[in-house]
Amino acid sequence: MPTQQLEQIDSVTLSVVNNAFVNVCREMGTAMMRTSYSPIFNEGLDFSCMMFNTRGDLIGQAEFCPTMLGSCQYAMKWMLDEVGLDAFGPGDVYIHNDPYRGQNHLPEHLVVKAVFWEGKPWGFVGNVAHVGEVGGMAPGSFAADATEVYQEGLRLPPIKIMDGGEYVRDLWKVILSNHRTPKTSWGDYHAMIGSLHVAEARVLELLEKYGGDFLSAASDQLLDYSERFMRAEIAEMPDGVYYAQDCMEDDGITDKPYWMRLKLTIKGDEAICDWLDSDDQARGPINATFVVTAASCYSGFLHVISDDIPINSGAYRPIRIVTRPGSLVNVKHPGPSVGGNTETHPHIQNVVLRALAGAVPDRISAAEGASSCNFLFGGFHPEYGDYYTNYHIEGSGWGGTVDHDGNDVLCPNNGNCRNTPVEILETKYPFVVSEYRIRNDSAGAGRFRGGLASSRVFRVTAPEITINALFDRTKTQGPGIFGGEPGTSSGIFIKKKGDTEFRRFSEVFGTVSDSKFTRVIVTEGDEIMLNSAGAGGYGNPLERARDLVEEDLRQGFISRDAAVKSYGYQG
Amino acid sequence: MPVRIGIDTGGTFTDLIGVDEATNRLVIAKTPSTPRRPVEAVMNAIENSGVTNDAIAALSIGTTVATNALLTRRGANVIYVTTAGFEDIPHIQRMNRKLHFSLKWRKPKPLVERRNCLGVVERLDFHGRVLIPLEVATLEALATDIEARRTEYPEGSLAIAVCLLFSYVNPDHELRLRDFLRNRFPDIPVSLSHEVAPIWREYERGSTVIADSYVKPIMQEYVSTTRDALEAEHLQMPWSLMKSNGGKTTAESAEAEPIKLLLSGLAGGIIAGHYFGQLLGLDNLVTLDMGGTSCDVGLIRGGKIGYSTNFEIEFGLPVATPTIDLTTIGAGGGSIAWIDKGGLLRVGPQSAGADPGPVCYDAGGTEVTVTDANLVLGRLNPGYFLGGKIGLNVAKAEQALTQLGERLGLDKHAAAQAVVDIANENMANAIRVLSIDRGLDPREFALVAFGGAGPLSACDIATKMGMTKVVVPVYPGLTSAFGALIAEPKVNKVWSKHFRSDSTDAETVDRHLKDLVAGVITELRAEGFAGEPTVSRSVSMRYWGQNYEQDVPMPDGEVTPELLDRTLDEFHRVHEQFYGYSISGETIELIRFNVEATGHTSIPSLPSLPTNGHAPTPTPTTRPVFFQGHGVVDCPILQRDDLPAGFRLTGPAIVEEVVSTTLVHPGQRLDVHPTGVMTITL
Amino acid sequence: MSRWIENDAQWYEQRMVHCAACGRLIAKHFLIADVAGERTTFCGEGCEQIYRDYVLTERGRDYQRPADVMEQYRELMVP
Repeated sequence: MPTQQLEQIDSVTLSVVNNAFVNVCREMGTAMMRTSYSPIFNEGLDFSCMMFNTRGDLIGQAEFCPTMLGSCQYAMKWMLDEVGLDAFGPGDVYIHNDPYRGQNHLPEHLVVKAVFWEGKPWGFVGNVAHVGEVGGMAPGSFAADATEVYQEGLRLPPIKIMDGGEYVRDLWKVILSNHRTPKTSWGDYHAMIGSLHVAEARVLELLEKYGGDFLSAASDQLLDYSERFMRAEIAEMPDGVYYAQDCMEDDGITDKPYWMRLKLTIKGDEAICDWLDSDDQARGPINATFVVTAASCYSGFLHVISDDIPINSGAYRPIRIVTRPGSLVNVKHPGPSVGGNTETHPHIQNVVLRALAGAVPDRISAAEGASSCNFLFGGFHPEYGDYYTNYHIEGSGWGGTVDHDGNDVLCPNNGNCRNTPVEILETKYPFVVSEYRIRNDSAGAGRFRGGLASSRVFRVTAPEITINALFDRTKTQGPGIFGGEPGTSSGIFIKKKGDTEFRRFSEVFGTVSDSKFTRVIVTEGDEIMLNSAGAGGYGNPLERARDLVEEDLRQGFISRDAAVKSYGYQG
Repeated sequence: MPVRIGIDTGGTFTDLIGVDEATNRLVIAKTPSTPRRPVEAVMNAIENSGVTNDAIAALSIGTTVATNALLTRRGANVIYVTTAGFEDIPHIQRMNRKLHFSLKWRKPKPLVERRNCLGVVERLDFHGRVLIPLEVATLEALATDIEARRTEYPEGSLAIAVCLLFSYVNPDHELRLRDFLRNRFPDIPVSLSHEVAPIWREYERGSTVIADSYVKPIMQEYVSTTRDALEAEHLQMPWSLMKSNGGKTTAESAEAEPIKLLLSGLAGGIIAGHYFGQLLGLDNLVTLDMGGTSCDVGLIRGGKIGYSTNFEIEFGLPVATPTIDLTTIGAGGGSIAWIDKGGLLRVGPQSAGADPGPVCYDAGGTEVTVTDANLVLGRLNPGYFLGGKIGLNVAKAEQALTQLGERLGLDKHAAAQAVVDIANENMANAIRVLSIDRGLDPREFALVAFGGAGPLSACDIATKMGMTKVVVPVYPGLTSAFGALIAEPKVNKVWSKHFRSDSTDAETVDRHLKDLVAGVITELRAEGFAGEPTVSRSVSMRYWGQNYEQDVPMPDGEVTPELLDRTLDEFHRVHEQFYGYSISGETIELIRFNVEATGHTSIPSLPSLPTNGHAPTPTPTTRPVFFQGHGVVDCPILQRDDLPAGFRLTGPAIVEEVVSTTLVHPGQRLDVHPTGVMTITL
Repeated sequence: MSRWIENDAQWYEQRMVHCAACGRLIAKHFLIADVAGERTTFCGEGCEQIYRDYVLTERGRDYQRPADVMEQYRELMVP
């Protein structure tokens, strides 16, 4: 393929171009946040804005969700391979959410628009966003007991939804007729497409300033630069073979764990992430698509190297992936995969970090809480009258590191999402949140402890609400490392109106799994508690500095009992 | 000979500039700041200015007291009072992180200790209806908790921040808490979230009210010591303080809501930049205030200063009060150059500061800074830095640049040029954040550059941004103080009331807006303003379903259904302009009604310089200076004080003055305005 | 010797073809190679190389994880 052969562009200009790409994506993100309809976007920021070259390489991104930034090149490359570059005309917008065409899971939709320069597509601006309702068997399209992709929502191969700036109305009608909340989807898709318009204008300014050939050469050289950067980082790691494993506690269908296993080979300036020892794929939706596994591997490496690397497809090149189709880390058609992206991804990434602990023990962290506590609900709003659904997530603890405690209550590593403010949640949906707290003693002890988890209680204020959940780590714990203790499990519990205590969903509703279920109907006055998971600690807790133990005690993050038991505190 | 005085209390220097209202004569003074007792430097500056006490007509002060208290974490011990069950919100924050691929990033520590976050049993719903009433027993329990803390913390160091859920809809419980707490603890200041920031999102509102409490004791101390010092000198002129929104306010109002002075010391620069733009007939300006360690960039568009309510103390610690829209980056003369793992040259954000300072200070600094690079390029006069107060060691700087260059395969000039280029690129990026990121074309803007280091880099940065005009004010080292001098009193008020566009009530809106307008005018009067104020109204709106609002100006006149319709139409138009689409027929939510009143005061004129007819044409000296694309050039060096009105030259040239150096590149044209303001046309 | 071929599936159907090394689904253009006497499909040259250099040598063509894989990994992981 023809790449512009310009001489090496100076490093200052390359930095400038990289920053310009980052800024284009940030600005898209601001437009998306400010104009979208669903809290998962305008509060949660569960989307990522990006730029691609005409080969589908990621060339620009900003501080969005790692899983989307790692996987988007596969969706884009698929799109180009399937429909061809010539299919893109000015004003066209394509959409694509098919996990069996390189997308990470069904709710995440990639919209892209080609930016035209001198009559030809110069590259693409894109936005991957987790659309909160895309049909399927469960409101909020998080079908925790689905056994096929077809139950998870509407599959869209790469198709054109804007043709020369005009809505392809027949298609929009099909899409919106398959969503439970078409008006919200309409607003959200507008925001996604609007962000592309904003980006297109900015990229055109850059093209005017630099010219198409120069900007292409600069982005190619940035890809090469990031590749060199990553190779230099890997080359610094000791050669060797490193192993790690962890499991998903169940798949919502069968009450047994599913294991992912990594044999990591560091050799010279390349890494091979071999997942062949992982379990076969699950019947339930905890399977990761190949692109999710690839993104987890990239993200794992990016987390242990310098923060200065420009993030693009070049950075991913030295990391090679080996998987077996039909396994937990590479689901085969028609297996379900909605939870693979949100729940299995952080587990996979923790396994990557655990394996890397053998190579760079000072740069990894212990395992994090690693569950977004996906909680979805839908129903008719008693006041507004219309049907709503919402996708709600919680933060968990991050793992302890060699020189500091893990962060408390943070979005798991696969995303970079925000929580939804209580005041916004209650204004939009018929719940009253009665508490939202940090869970004391929820972190694994260590020389540097894990991050703490959160707890939230919802009280239902509508006659009925249909709820779905997809959690993990309710029976397992995020392991500590080098003598650190594991974090506390997560959990979702129900207190029926009139009851005095919270109980498990299996007990009250007979669900197979306590953490993964759909279409449970709760009624006015019921209370639901979402506990996220704490993270593992790093190093022997007895080596923790006494002033840190005392400060945790003083602020109530740990109890006196825990201080004595885990840290041998005598004071 | 009444003299109006503006003072800027910075981290290193306290600057004063005054204008004699009768003669337009300028007086200036620059004294070292006295961070422990900022008022001392203020009084010293007044004394040094030579203006007699009875000649001072008015005094306004910009101060970084609040900014520094926040940045150095030396504020109050805050007690955060909130709805029971939500005590951890300041620590939970928003769950996202600044760096998306990093295990090193650490969540910001809130300005309140967790043990001091106290819950009270009470609850409102989203309509503001009471779900759980606030009982007397609850108040008593809270008083016991607060009482216990009084013995633990130093006297005078406590402040209470109250943030209850949905207080922006119904403030009743917050007001009752205030009355109770003031009565019970009259010595502890209380801040209320619905007053400081009447917005939804409990974390952002809470973070803002915590920040207000955090700086309250220190600002109250600052205000009272200033008041005492002025009284001790029998200074009885009106005096005021700069606010973050670029207006000024009375001492009393600064004590009541000190968070509104967060950017007091930074806003002056933009106000002054606006003034100089107006003076030259320029409506679109970027202001660049660059010192040793930081660089503040502001934006003036269509003759108007931009505003924001999204300021962050650091990533994740928002302050949601109106501020002049500015962005600050860690880039200045002291920024350090380094080479990253991939072999790329980078500059900053680490700074060598004043101690040890750049290599050329010869005070132990070993890391190359931007100042070193400028020195090696010949742009700085080694014998006249800060008016000759610091001698610069050229040989050391050259040696350091040579070594850095060897690692990059560059000679010392190319290495120095690269360092300067990258530093300027960082500043250009700060400009991009304010301009390009908002869809504005910087090429349509002129760059107003000041601060000690601004005029040196301005032409480079402007070139990078495709800008064609640079403005260097008179006394560029005192521009922020000049901003304080000319700032006008400004009052904002907000009515938070929710309507849907299909069910607005023009009559109610009209009544409330009239009340708001009356309120802002009353406050302006209280601040000593006697003239006719300018009042503007706007409505914060969004499409039904969206979560973020857009402020849309409301036309003047009585609020009628027709006028509301026009305002709604304007929302569609603004949405289309910003985001490339509008959704016609969609319901719009009206969230807040905003009123702002400004008291226009006559702005002093600058004195005129002599023209060519009177003063001799300056005769420049020369010095070798490196210019990219030209190599080392024998460059004319001029003293600014020698330049008459109407003077013009074509670069290369360097114009030196006591606290700043202006660099004119080959081919650029310098013009001196009758007031002494320099413009450079690129 | 390897060669690129284009999937001959009709526009209205999808063939689920996986790369023999990384395991991902391939859209339209496959790389066909003869590896140790067997026709093998890849998504690109890099994967063909990994297959030859790593998968075949370290794991073998039809690798099955051992029954005691869990214990093995437990032993091999850092503590």
